[in-house]
Amino acid sequence: MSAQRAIVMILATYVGLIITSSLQALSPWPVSTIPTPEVALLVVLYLGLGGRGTAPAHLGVALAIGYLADLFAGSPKGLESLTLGIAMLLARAASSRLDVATPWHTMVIALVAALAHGLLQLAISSSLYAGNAAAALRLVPTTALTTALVAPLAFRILHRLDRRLAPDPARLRMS
Amino acid sequence: MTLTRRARELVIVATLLAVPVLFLRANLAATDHLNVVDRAILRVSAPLQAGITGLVHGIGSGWNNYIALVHVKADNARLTDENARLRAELIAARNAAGREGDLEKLLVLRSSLQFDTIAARVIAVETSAFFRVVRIKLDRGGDEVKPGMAVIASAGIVGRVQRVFGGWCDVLLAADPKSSIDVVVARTGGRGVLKGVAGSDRYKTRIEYLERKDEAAEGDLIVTSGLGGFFPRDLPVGKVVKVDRHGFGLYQEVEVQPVVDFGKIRDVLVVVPRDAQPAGPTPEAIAPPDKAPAEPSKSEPAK
Repeated sequence: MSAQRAIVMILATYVGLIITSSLQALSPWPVSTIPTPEVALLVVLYLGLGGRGTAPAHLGVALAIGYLADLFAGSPKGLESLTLGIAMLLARAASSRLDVATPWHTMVIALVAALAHGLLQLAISSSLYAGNAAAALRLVPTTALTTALVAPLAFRILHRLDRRLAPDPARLRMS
Repeated sequence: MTLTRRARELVIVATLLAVPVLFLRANLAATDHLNVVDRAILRVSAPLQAGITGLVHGIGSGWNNYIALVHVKADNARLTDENARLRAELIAARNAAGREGDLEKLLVLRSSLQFDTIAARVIAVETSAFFRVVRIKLDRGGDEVKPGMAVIASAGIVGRVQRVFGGWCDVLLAADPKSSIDVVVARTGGRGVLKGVAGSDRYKTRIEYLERKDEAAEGDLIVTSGLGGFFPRDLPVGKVVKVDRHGFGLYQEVEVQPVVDFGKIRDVLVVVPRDAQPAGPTPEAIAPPDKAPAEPSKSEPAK
């Protein structure tokens, strides 16, 4: 992965986080009712499923994205970095076995990934919930659903960004 | 890929993954620490968030007040359109009046408190469904604001300042599982610790360590105890909606519905304690949902 691509993807995540957090503040519904889609996870999935570049480079970008996500999520520092880093490695490992050609594929993969990501976050941060972590499980499916719904749009935007960086479609594995 | 290269990649990956693990271990308990890079990023982000919030709000107002009314030029539909416009204006005026009402209550509360307050506006909320944090823009410089300070709205308490960066703060809402606020049941004077309920579909809280002898009942008003020095005494926190007394044990489980609608807060006050003993607001300054003034708690005054 080129440094330019890494920077663009990190910046795209940053912009996405700013927009979603600001718009959510204007929403009359609380985050727990209509959860914010996991923008950072979608970028990590996109990069991981694309499979281009080395694992350390991908992981480095995932950690940077996670660091930004931590600043916007109100979570303890390191939580998003760790979970997104793991998500990136798993997405890379699955990239050669998964078909993400249609928006439906994208939504299903994003749904499963967001469910797994939410469960992983809860498992790691369970000590914060004072034995009440099981109740937080209810939030995982709704968050995963909103993430899955915006996944095709997010992938499309990221793909366009990618095409600007690497105009030759043959160089892109995801089309 | 050669074995050596693969082994090297594995080592790098393991090392990289160790970084967030170490960060997490260090920050799991205390989330208020910000390093230079954190502050720089947040200082850049907060104005952008405030800008987007303001822009979207402005576009919404523009749409309601101008663009949606452009087509009313047709003479034959003038009366109908004027009626629609007046209705829209009426709704806008009601909204504005409601907002001004909230601001007025905040001003009354501010003048009644015997310590400094800094006005602030919510500009963004957390992006994670598991945490309850809002980002606010302070009315004036954040030099006086420190992590742990109380944040209140006209109806009651909102939460605590979690971290400060320039003129912006992250506020840990009372409904966050990490939040803990010393409270009393206004009717009985029983003391406990208010904690957020993890994963609640709404913003709910519960009281821990409330002794069984201090029987709470549904509808009881919960107010701040004033202990700790950050929260003034007798500020409304919420109302008891569920009490669960097990057949054994020292404590009862009490679920509390906050008086502040965290999903709709826009304007808040950050309470800056003075060295002197913080005293509570006058009862009439606080307007809980049922308009009943907070009963004075029987707890000991804050030390």
